[in-house]
Parts: sequence; structure tokens; C-alpha cells
Amino acid sequence: MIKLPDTICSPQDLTALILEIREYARWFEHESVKQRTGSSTRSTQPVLSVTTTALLRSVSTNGTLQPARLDSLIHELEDYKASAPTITLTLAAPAPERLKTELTAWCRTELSPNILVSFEYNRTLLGGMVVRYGSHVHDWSFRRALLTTNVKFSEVLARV
Amino acid sequence: MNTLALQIFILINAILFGAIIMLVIQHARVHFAEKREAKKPQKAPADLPTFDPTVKQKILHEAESSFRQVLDKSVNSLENDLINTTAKLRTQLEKFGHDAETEEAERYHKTLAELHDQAKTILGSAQTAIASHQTELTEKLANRQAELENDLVAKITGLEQELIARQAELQTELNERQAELEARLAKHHAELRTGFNERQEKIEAELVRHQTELESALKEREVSLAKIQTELDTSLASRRQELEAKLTEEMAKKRAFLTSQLEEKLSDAVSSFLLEAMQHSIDLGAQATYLTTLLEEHKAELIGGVKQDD
Repeated sequence: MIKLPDTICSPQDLTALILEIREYARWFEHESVKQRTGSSTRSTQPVLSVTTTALLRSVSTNGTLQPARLDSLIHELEDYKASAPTITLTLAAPAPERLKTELTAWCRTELSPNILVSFEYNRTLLGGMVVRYGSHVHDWSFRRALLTTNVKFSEVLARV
Repeated sequence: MNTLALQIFILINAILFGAIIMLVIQHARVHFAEKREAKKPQKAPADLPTFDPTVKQKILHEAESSFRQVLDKSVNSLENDLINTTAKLRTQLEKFGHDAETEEAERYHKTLAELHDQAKTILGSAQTAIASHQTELTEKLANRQAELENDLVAKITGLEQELIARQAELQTELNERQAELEARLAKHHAELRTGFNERQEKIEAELVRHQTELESALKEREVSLAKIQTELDTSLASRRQELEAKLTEEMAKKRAFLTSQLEEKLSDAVSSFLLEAMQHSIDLGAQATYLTTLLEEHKAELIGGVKQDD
């Protein structure tokens, strides 16, 4: 099972990665054919993200890539996407990349090594998060804490 | 009279019509006989001259025209004769009718006058007879009236006498019956009085008995009612206590429910206030450690959920 970098968090990130690799594989194949036929025309290499470049470097053999390897990589990634479990974290605001990476790393370390993490946001939570995995939903938001507090609100108001 | 004139007029017209028809038949026979003669092949005598066809045609045309002229003339003369005859017949008929009418009128007036005279004589004789008969009838009527009056007076006197006698008899009978009835009435009255007294005594005795029974029953009822009243009072008191307890319990429940509702509404209000106050200023960077700690705290639950779904 391929190990994805923690920057690839959600199924959408994985889909974008697969599309990039597919485009690169198409360009690579065309360039290989041109090289074999001795054609002089060259096209520009598609721009890849840092993560995609790192992943391709990791799967290359002695610094070289083969089209077959790229195809097998694409198949592996598609199988990964189809079979990987998905957990959804709903936060009070859009999560920055650093936080996403941190939370994804924790989930892959503690829960499942091939887990994908989807991030959503809902301002009404005020803080904390809501975790949904399959049919299980855990609401650890500030709003739920306010609603389920044991301290009576009227008593708190009286003490103010 | 009118029918006779009409019949004569119709007869004359029939005679004229027959004469006309006869003339027409004669002329037609002559005409057709001539035609037949013309059709028969004539033996050409040796001495007779032969004509050209054109001359023949011409002769034929001339003969036809002359024959037509003769026919027209005869028709015109016949028509004139017919008109003259018709006028003459009309005048004759008018005259005849006028004469017949005057004769009939004279005869009618004559007959009418005779009848009038006859009626007058008959009427005079009838009036005299009626007058005589009337006088006879009045005499007879007066005689009869006198007789009837006499009879009537005699009958009235007889009836009055009979009435007086009958009245006396009825009066005696009435007196007897009255006395008898008074005796019987007195007797019945005495009997009724005794019966009434007896019945009254019986009824009074029964009334006294019933009264005592009723008083005893009433006393028993009062005692039972008092018992029931005490039982009802005790049950009412217990029921009241139960209901009061239930009411306080329900009030407490309602209060708790309303309090929880109020708490929830207040929490929602505070959450909405915080949300509106913070708007987009929520910083998740500061919560990163808190989020990671939260995940660590609930790690067992998450792992259990992941394993259960796997």
C-alpha cells in the first residue's frame, strides 16, 4: 500500500493528485514516443505541485521513470481512493494547510494509516469540532458544550 | 221562387251549350271529310290538266287561307249569336224573376192579412171566454174559502179542548213522578252518607298507618344518608389530597420543562450573539493544540468506531 504524504488529506486532494499524474503520464508517453522516433519537436512539461513531484521522485527507479510505472502508480492511487476510509472533521472556520496536515498526520498515526480526512466548516459551532465517521457522529463543539452544560444559565446570569 | 228561376236559367244554358257543340261537331266532320278526300289518291282523268308542284302548293295555300277565313267568320258569327242569345236570355230571366217575385210578394201579403184577421177574431173570442171563466173561478174560490174557514174554526175548538184535558193529565202524572223521585233520592242520599262515613274512617285509619310507616322509613333513610355523607366526605378529602399532589407534581414538571426551554433559548441567544460578534474572526490556529488534545481525549471512541465500521 502506497504511503501518501500528509499534505494529501481528503479524497478531493487525492483526485487532484491523480489528475496531475495522469496529465504528466500522457506528456511523458508522448515525449517517449517522440524520442524513439527521433522527432525534434518538444512540448513543455506540465507544471506539477511539490507533492506530486516528491511522489514521482519516490517511485522512480534510479532517477528514471517508466510509463508502465506511471500507469501502475495511477491504478494504485485509484484503488487507494476506492478502498480508503474517510473521516470528516467540521471546524468553526476554514482550516489552514498546516492544521490540516497536522490533523491528518494524527489520524493516520492513531486511527488508520490510509485514512482520508475531509475538512468542512460551520461557523455556528463557535469552536471545537464535529467528527463524523460512517454512522458515528461526535459533536465536541463549543455550541454543544454550551447547550449541554450542567450549570444553569440563569444561575450564571445571577452571579454576573 | 229563386230555385225555379235558377233551374230555368240552367236549362237554357244547357240548350245553348248543346247547340254550340253540335255546330262544332258538324264543322269538324266537314273538315276531316275534306282532308280524307284530299288524302285519297285521285285517278288522274285523262282530260284533267297537270299542275306544277309549286302551283299546287300555291293553290293549296290559297285554299287553306280561304278555308281559315270561312272558319273564322263562322266562329265569329257563332260567338256573336251566342252573346246576343245570352243577353236576351238574361233579360228574359230577369223579367221572369221580377214578375214571379212580385206575384209571390202579393200572395204572401194577402195570406198574411188573412191570417192576421183570423188571429184577431180568435183572440177576441178567447178573451171573452177567459173573462167568463175567471169570474166563475173567483166565485168558486170564495165559496170554498168560506167552507174551509168554518171547518178550521170547528177543528181549532176541538183541539183546544183536547189539549186542556191532556195538560191536566200530564200535570197529575208529573206530580206523582216527582214525589216518587224525591223519595228515592232521599233514600239514596242516606245510603251514600253511611257508605261515605265508613270509607272515610277506613281511609283515615290507613293514612295513620302509612304515616307511621313513612316516618320510620324516613328515619332509616336519614341515618343511611348520614353514613353515606361521612363516607363521601372522607373520600373527597383523600381525592383532593391526591389531586393536589398530582397538580404540584405536574407543575414542577412543567416548570422544569419551561426552565430547560428557557435555558436552551438563552444558550441559543448567547451562541448567536457570540457568532454575530466574532463574525469571521475565528482563529483556528490558536485552537490547533486544543483540537489535537480533544482528539487524544476521545481517541478510544474514535478507534472503536473505526474498528466497528471496518
